[in-house]
Amino acid sequence: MSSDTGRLGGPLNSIADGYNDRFGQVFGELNGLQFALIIGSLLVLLLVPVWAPLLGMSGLLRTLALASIWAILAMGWDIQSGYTGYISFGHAVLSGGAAYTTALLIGNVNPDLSLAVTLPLSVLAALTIGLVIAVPSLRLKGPYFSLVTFVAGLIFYQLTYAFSDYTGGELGVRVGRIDFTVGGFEITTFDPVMRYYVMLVPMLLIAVTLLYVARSNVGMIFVAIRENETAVSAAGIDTTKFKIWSFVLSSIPMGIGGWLLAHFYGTVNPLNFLLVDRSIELIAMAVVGGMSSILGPIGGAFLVIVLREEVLRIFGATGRWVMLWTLILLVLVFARDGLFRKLWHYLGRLGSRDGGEN
Amino acid sequence: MDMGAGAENSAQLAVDQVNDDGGILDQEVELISEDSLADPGESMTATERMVEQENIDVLIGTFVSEVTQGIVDYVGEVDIPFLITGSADPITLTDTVGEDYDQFKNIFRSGPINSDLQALGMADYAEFLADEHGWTDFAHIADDAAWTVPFSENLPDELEDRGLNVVHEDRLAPGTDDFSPMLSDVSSADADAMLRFFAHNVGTGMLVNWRENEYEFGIEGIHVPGMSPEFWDDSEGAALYETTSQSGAAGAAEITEETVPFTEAYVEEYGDSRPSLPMYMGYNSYDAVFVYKNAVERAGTADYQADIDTIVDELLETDHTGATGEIEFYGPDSEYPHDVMETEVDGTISNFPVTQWQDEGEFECVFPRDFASADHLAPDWM
Repeated sequence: MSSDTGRLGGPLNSIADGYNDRFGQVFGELNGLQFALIIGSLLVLLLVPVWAPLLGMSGLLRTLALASIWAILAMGWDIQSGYTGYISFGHAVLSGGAAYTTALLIGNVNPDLSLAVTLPLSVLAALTIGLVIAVPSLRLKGPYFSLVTFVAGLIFYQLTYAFSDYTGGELGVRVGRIDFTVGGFEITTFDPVMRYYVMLVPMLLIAVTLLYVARSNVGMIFVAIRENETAVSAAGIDTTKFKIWSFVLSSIPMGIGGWLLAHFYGTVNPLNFLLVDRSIELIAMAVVGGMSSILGPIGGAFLVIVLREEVLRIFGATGRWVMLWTLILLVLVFARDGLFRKLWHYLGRLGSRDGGEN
Repeated sequence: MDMGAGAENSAQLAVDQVNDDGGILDQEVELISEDSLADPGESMTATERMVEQENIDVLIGTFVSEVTQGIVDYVGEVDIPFLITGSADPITLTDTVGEDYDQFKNIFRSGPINSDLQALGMADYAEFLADEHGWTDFAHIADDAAWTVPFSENLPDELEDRGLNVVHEDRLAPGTDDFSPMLSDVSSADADAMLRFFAHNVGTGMLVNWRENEYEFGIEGIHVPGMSPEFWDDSEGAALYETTSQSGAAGAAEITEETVPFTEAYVEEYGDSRPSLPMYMGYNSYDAVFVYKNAVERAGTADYQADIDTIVDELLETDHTGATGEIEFYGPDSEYPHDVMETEVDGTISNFPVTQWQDEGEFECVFPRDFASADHLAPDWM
C-alpha cells in the first residue's frame, strides 16, 4: 500500500506544497491527496452544467443548487454550534427570519424591490435575530441554551400564523425568482444553469471566508470554549463576548442562505423555512459531514440532499425520508465524527510522507 | 393520503379511457404522478422535475393551497397548462391570472368552484335546511387556516342577508383535540346547525362528543377527512348524520350522465383499496383530463412552448359535461378569471352538492334537491 501512495502522492504532494507555502498558514496545510480531493470536488461542482446533461442527469442542476444553499446553512450552524459546542436547535429562525424579511418587503412594501435592498436588509434581520437570541441565552449552559434556541424556533413558527395578514399564514408570500442584469446580461434563476451558479458561487465564497475565520485565532478560541470554557475564562478571555461573535459570524451566512432559499422556492412559508424540522435537518447535515470543520458540513449537505432528492427516490415520496433519517441515525451511531472527517483523516494517513496523523 | 390516491387513480382511469379511445391527438397518453407531501418546497422541485426532465404537457392537481401557491410562479414562467383540481382558494387565480394575465394565462381551475362561490353555495344549503327543518340559527366554526378565510369573510353576512341568523362564530387551531368547549359554546348559543369547515382538523372526537351529549344541532358544512369513503369505518360510525359538500357527491347522485358510470368504473378498478371512491379531487381530476384533451384537440396542438395562446383560447371555449357537472370557465376579464363557473338549478348553485352519512355507512346526496338521492336527516335525538 505504501508504494501505491508513494506513487500517487508524489506529484500531488509537490502541488500541494505549493499551496501550503502560500495558503497553508491561513487555511491549514494539506497533503497531496487532500489537495486532490478539494480541487477535484471543486472542478466537479464547477462543471456540473457540462457533465450532468451528458450523463442524462440534468435534474442534478436543481438538486445541487439546493444542496449549495443547505451547505451555506450547515456551515452557518457549524461556525457557531460546531465550533463553540453551544448547540443551537433553532438555527432555521435565522435563515427563516431573513427569508421572511424579504417576503415582508416584497409582499407589503414593494414587489419590485431589488436585491440590493432585500439582501442586505435580510442579512441584517438575521443578524438582529441572532443577537436577540444570543445575548440573553449564551450565559446559559448545557441543555438550557439548546432549549432556548429550540423554543425561539417554535415562537417564530407561530408568529407567521399570528400575523397572517402580513405573512400569509401557511400560504406564505410569493417572492419570485432572482432576476437582475449585469452589464446587459440578464441573470435569472428561472434558467437552471444560471440558478446553479447563483447558488454555488456564494456557497464557495462563504466557505473560503468561514475557513479563514475558523483557522484564525477567533476560531481557536471558539474551539477552546467548547473544550474547556473555564480554562478560557481563566486565561482572561471574555467567553461570552466570543460566543456572541460566533452567533454574529453564523448569522451572516444564515441570512444569505435564507435569502437564496426564498428565491430558490419562490415562496416563503412556515413549513419550508421555520418548521423545527428545518433546524434539525441542517444540524444533521453538519454532523453527518463532521461538525467543527466547515468543509464537513458542505459534504454533509451535498450528501444528504443528493440522497434525498435523487438516490433514495426509489423508496417513494415518504419512504425516502424514512430511509434518510435512518441513514443519518446510523452515521450518528457508527461515525459520530462525521463521514467527511473520516475520509479526510484517512487521506491524511494515506498520503502523509512520514506515515503519521496529519 | 386518501385524497391524493383517489385523484391519482381517477386521473389514471381517465388516461386509460382516453388511450382506449385513441389517445390525445393520436398519441398515447402517459400519467406521471408525484406526491407533493403537502409541502410547497417538495412540490416545487417535483414540478420542475416533471416539466424539465419528464417533459410533461399538462399539469393537473394540487390539493393544499400552499402547494398551489408555491408552484404558480414557475408554472407561469414555463407556460405549461395547469389545471387545478383540488385547492379552492380564489386567490390562487385572482392573484395570478387576475394580476398579470400574460404571465399566468396558462393556469385554470377546472374544479371545485372556488371558495367564494362555495360560500354562496353553502348559503343556498342553509336556506334549504331552514325550509326542511326550520333551522334558522347557525354557528360558523372554521379551521384557522387560509382556505377557510373566504367562508369566514363571506358566509356570515350572506346568511344574515338571507334572513338567517349567525349566533356564534369561532376559529379552531389546526390539530385541536378537545372539541368539548367549542361544542358547548355552540349549544349555549342555541344554534340549530353548526356550519364547520375542517380540513386540518379531523372531527371524529367532536362527532363522538356531539352524539354522547345529544347536542340539539346538526353538523353541516365541509369536512375533508369526512369525505373519505373509509371515514364511516375509521370513525366507527360516529359520522352518522354529519354532512359535507363535495364535488361529485361521492357518486351518490346522477349529477350528469357521466357521474355514475365514472364512479362505477372507479369502484371496479380501485374499489378494493383506499379510497374505495374517487373523492372530490378524483372527480375533478378525471374531468380535467378530458377538459385538456378536448381543448388541445380543438387547438390541434399540445405544444405549449410554441402555442400556449391557442391552447388557452381553446381551454376558455370549454363546454364539457363532466362527472362533476357542466364545466365552463370564467373569461379573462371576469372577477374570477379562468375559474370554473358555478352552475345553477332553480336559483341554487348545483355543482356544490352536499352528502350526508346515513344509515349503514352510506353516502347520500341530500342537496341540491334536483338530484338528491335521499332526504336530509336531522339527528334522531333532535
